[in-house]
Amino acid sequence: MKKSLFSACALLSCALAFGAASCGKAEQAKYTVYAPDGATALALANAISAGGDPFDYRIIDASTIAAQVTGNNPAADFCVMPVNLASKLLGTGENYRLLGTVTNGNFYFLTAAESVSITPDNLSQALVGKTVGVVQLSNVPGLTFQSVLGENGIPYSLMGNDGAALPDKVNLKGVEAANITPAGADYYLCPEPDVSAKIKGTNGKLKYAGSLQELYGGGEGYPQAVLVAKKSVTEGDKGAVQALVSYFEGSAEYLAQAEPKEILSLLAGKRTEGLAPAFTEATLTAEVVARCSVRYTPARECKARIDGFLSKLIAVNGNFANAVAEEFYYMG
Amino acid sequence: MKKNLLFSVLALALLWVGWIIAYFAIGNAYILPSFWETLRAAGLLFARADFWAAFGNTFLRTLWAFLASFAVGVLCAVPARLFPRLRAFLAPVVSVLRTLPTMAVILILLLWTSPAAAPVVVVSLVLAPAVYSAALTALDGAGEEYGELAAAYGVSKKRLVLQMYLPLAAPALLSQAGAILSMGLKITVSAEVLASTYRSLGYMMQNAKLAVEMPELLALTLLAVLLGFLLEGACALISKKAVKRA
Repeated sequence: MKKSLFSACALLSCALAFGAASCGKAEQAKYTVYAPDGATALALANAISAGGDPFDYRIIDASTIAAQVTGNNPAADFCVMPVNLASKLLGTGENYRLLGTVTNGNFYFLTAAESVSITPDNLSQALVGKTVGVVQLSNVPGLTFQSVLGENGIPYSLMGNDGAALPDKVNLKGVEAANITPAGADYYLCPEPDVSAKIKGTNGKLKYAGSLQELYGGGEGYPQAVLVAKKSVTEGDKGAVQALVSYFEGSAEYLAQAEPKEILSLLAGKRTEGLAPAFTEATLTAEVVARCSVRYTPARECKARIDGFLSKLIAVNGNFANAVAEEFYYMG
Repeated sequence: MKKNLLFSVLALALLWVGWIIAYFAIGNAYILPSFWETLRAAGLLFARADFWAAFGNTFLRTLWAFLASFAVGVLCAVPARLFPRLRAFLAPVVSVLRTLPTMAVILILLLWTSPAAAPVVVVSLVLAPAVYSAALTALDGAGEEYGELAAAYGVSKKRLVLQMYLPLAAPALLSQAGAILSMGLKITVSAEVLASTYRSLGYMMQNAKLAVEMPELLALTLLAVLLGFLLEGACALISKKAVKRA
C-alpha cells in the first residue's frame, strides 16, 4: 500500500514537472525572423529595438534568403523577402502566407548634371534615344522599369555588348552599381544607398534625376519586399503574428525619428558574422532612410496591388515571378 | 593506361554518389538540386539558341585571352631567360599583375573597351604572368648542359633560342597549357558577371541565380566544367603530338 502510494506520488510529480517544463518552453518559444541586409533590414529596426522575445531576428546575405524558406524544414518562421521570390517559391500558400508589404521601392535615377530629371510627364522626351544603365536589369527593378516603359507605349531595347544605341528607342543595359560613372550612360537606375554614395563620390557630377517609385506607383511605389510567415504559425499562434505585424506597422514612424547610428547599431547585432553591412555610418543618412520607402501595408489592403504588380512583371519576363494563389494571402 | 582510366572513372562515380548523398542530406533543392533535375535543365539548355551563343562567346573569349597571354608570356620569358637584368626588371611587374584584384581594373576596362572585350583583357592580365612563370621555368631547365658548349662555339642567341631553348622547353610548357586554359575559362565566367557581358555563360548564370532556377545554374556550371575538361584534353593531345614531332 505504502509502495503504491509512493509510486503514484512519484508519477504525479513527474507529470507535473513535465507539464511545467512544457508550459515554460511554450512561453519561451522563439520564432525566427529572417531578412536580407539592405532596405529590408531597416524594416526590422523597430522590432529589434522593441526587444527580443519571442522573436529571434537574423539579418543575412540576400542571396541566401531562398534557402531559409525552402527545404524539408525551413529555418524561417517569418521572413522578409523580395515579392517576386516569394511568388516563385511560396506562392501556392501551402507552407507560407503573405502578411503584408514591407518596402515600396528604393530605386532612383542618376544623370550627369546637364540632363533633365525624369518625371511621368517627360518620360518619352527624356529617354528615347538615350542609354540607361540599370542595376539588376534582369530582376525586379529592371522588369518594373520595362513594364513602365511598355505601359507608356515607349519602345525600348536591351543593348548588346557593342554598346550601339538605337535613336528611336530607350536603350537599356545592365550595370553593376560599382561600375557607375558619369561617362558610362546618359542615365542610371540604381538603388539606395548607392545613389547617394555616387552623388557624393562624383562631387555632384552625377545628380539625382527622378525615381522609379514615382513612375510606377505615382509616389506610392511598388511592392518590393513582403513579410511572409509559416502557415503553421499563422494558424497556431495568431498572437505572435499580430505582435510582429505591430512592430512592422510602427517601422515607418520609428525610422523617421531614429538616429542612423542607433539603427546601424541595432542591425549590427543581428547580422550574420562576417557579412559586410549594406549600410555604414558613411552611407546611412536620414535622407537615405526616407528613400528606402519602408512602409508596412497588410495583405488585405495590398492584395490587388501585389497581384497587379506580379502580372506586370510576368508580362515582361515570366521567369522572375509567378501568379500567386488566394490562399497565399493572410487576411487575418 | 586502362587501369588509370578506370580510377579516373571511379573518381567521377564517387563524386556523383557524393552529390546524391548530399542532395538527400541537405533536403533543399534551392541549395543543392537533384542530379536528375540538373540533367533535365541541361537538356533544356541544349535546345536553346541563346545558350549556344553564350557558350560559343565564352569559349572564344577564353581562347583569345589564352592565345594573347601565351604570346605575351613566352615573348617576355625568352629575353628574360637570356638577359638577367631584364628578368630582374620584369619580376616586380609580373608580381603586380599576378596579385592585381580583378574588381580594381574592371571599371577602367569597361570605360576603355566594352562589356565583351573587358573579360578578355582581364583574363589575359591574369594568365600572362602564369604563362610567363611557366615559360621561364621551362626555359631555365632546358639545355643547361649545352649552355657552356654553345657559348664556346659562339652560337648566336637567335639560334640558341629557336633551335635549343624553345624546342627543349616546349614539352614542359605545353603540359601546363591545359591547366592554364581551364583556369582562364573559370576567370572568364567571373569577369563576364562583373562586366555584365550580354550573351555569355556568366550572364546566363547570373540570371539563373536571380530567377532562383538552381537546376539551370548548376547545369550551366557543369557544362562549364565539362568545357574545361575538353580544353585540357585538347591541350594534352596537342602537346603529345607536338612533342612527338619534335
